[in-house]
Amino acid sequence: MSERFEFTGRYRNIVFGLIGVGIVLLLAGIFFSDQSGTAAHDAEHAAVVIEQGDVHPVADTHGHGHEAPTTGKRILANVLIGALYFMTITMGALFFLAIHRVGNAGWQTAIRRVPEAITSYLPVAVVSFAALFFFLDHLFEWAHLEPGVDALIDEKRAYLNEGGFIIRNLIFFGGWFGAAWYLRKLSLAQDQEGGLFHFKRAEVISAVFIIFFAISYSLFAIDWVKSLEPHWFSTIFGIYIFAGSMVSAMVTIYLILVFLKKQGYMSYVNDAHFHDIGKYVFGFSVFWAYIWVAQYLLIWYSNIPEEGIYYVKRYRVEDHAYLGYSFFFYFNVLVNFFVPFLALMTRNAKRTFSVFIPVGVILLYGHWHDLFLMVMPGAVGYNPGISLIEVGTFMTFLGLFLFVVFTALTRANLVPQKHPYLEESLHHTTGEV
Amino acid sequence: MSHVRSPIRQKWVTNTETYGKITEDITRPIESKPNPIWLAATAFSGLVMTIGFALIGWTMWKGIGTWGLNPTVGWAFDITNFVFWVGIGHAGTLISAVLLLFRQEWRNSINRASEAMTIFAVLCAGLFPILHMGRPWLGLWFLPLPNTRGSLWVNFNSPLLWDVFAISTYLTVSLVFWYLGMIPDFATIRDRMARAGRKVAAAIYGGMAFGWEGSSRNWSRFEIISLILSGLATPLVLSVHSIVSMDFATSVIPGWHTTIFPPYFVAGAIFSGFGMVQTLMIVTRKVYKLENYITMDHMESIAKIVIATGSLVGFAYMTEFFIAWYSGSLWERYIFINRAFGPFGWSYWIMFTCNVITPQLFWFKKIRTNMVITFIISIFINVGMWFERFVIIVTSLHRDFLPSSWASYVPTWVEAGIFIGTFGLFMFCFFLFSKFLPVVNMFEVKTLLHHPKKPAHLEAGESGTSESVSA
Repeated sequence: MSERFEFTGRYRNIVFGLIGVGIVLLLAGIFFSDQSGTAAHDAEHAAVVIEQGDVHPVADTHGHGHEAPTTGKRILANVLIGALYFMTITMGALFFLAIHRVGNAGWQTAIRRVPEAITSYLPVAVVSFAALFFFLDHLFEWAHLEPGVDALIDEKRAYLNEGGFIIRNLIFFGGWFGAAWYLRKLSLAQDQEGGLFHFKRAEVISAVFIIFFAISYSLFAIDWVKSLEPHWFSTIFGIYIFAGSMVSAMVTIYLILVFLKKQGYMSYVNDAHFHDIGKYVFGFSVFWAYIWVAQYLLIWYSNIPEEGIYYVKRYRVEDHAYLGYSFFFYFNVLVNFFVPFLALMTRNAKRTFSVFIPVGVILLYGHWHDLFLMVMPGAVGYNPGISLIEVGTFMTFLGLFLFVVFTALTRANLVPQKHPYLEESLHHTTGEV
Repeated sequence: MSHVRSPIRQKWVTNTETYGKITEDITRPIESKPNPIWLAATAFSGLVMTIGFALIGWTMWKGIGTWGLNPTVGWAFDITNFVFWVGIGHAGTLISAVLLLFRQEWRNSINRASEAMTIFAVLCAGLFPILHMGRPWLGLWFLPLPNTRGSLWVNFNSPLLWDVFAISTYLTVSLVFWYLGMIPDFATIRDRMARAGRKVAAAIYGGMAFGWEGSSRNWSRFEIISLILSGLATPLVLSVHSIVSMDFATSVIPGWHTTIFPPYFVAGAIFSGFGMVQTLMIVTRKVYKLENYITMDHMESIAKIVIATGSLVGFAYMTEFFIAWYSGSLWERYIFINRAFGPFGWSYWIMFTCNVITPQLFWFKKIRTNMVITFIISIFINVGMWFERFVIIVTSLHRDFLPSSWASYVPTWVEAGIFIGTFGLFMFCFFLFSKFLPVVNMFEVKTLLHHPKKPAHLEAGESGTSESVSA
């Protein structure tokens, strides 16, 4: 069995179009953007002064000798969201490969070239983060403030400093890239040579990767997301990012498979494969909700100001001095939990494309929405809303992602020939519909 | 599930050619006379259990002043034991429900005993919240029942009440799941007893089999209800210990209040449960000669889950420590330094060694397949997970915000005796189970009997592909 994906001119054009339109929209967004940020910001400070004595959410990000939120900051925050978005999907796919190898899962063999292709985006994701290294002081309050201004941040300087930040993230990226590259190499070598050598080697690499991943990914989450609000802390934060990564990675794999199947490729991928990925989407969205509740409920219940501030910023509505995220806050739970929970409950829903695709698209939006809600209050402050800048930045990243993934798909046989579990996967079934 | 099986996969049933042999092997302890070792062990655990109950009686007679609690350390052995035993239970539910969803064939021969373990562990756990109230005869006040006490009503805002619901739901679902799963096996035993002319036994097992006749209609209904129950039990694996963790994490006590607690407690619970599964299975497979059904591969799979969950627990310890520092909060930082280097530091290091370091030994295949070492490590895990709860509960309490109210805690012999007594109860129940009920799920193991022959060229594990093999 042999099959190769062809990245035809038509799809190439669509992908380049995405990038092009994205950049145009971004530029248009900058051109049309409201430059009155400074005025709004001054108004916020006025509000702070009036309500002195209250525990005020704005005081947390806006207390200390800082600059007004500008369009530039907003673009940076959007680039961070775009970089995070596709990095999390890539890492979800890499974790998918590793955990299934360690768990000796046979069913996923026929589809594994898709997550493999997704992991080839990793170098580009790394470059997008590396570009942000040069703007740390514009994104992060701790990088911007001089020592001696904020006592709490000074307490954390041993961890939150630019040198350490860059070095440890380079180590993380290096480790992840090494694992992705080596697993892909072993998988392709298996096609040529067969046997069990590459297969067994992949098990060892996967096990080591999973341990490295657990530690590095949660520190990565702390560094790039949690430290945007450097006063705040939550022990579960890394797992929360992980949960979101897995949902969107599973949806991405599903949708790419649907695309390939519609193009006439992968005739051997059947209902059961889609059903199983659909189960993961359902399961991980419930897991996401579980982690969401674990974080929210415990912070809400204890009502400790240092922790509660994170949510106060995000859901208070009555007062305009608050940042205007309350709708986003509730909507987040709706799209990321209630929609998939209700829509994907039945077994048929997980394998019927006309049901799954809309839910999948909602979840992909939901992941972006979730990241927006995590990043924006810390990086920008007030809610800038979703406009051309957001759409344009996302489209540019999406085009780049699709270009890299589809190019990677052309590079190898879609069937992982000579994989010891291939035959199991080709006969995979989860029962009648 | 695929009907094609890769030839490189292991066999989960070894040296067994017929279904009849499976039935023979598993019903043997039920049909034969109890052996003297079993009698002695049961009697001994019964004695320990009796001592435990006597001390419970003493506690109720004298009050919980017989325990070593004080105003600062208001929770200690009681809640430690409670969380310990609830945690033990989690492996059974994970094996019966979650591993079923993940199509893990190896669960088929260990699910029965693990589910039994779950139920007995939850019984032991349930004793402590009732006892620690001080007036256990008012235990009914736990339940939101209409009453004549005016507006006195349970506090729905309290995680302690959520616990009542979580644990009782858990016990109910586990019990029903366990019992239903045994019905086809009860019918098998009934038929064998009837054939052997043992009328009383046949009548008892017949009653328990609910008139099972093995018809396709029986099986169809059985499979539907099994699926529904495993669907219900799966969220329970997560919810029960999440709620137990909220007994602590909803508070404002440093060391208790941390957002990672729910998943961390669940991972710890599964870890401790699998430690106990190892302990029990190593003995059971040896004593009842079940090595063909609970094979070395089973023991290796269990060991791998122990590595995974043990590492998760270690990861949670490190996260807590790091975030305590990162928080910049004076209280958070102090409580963790005190935990590791304060007066109860020894218990922290016992916990850390047993839970984080010893399971890492299972990375080595030689250790995983050595049952003596595995048994010892499993005991370490049980000890470590008990200490984990002790560390969380006692070290977070004993030095509170006011140094003038700092105190220590030493258990009394009454508390220690009750704890040991619950081991008696647990083992007593398990011994009765292993004698009178089928310890291995016969009908599910039978589904694993037929495997493709492993081709010669793959035995060496060098060349050949699955395609050429299965064609």
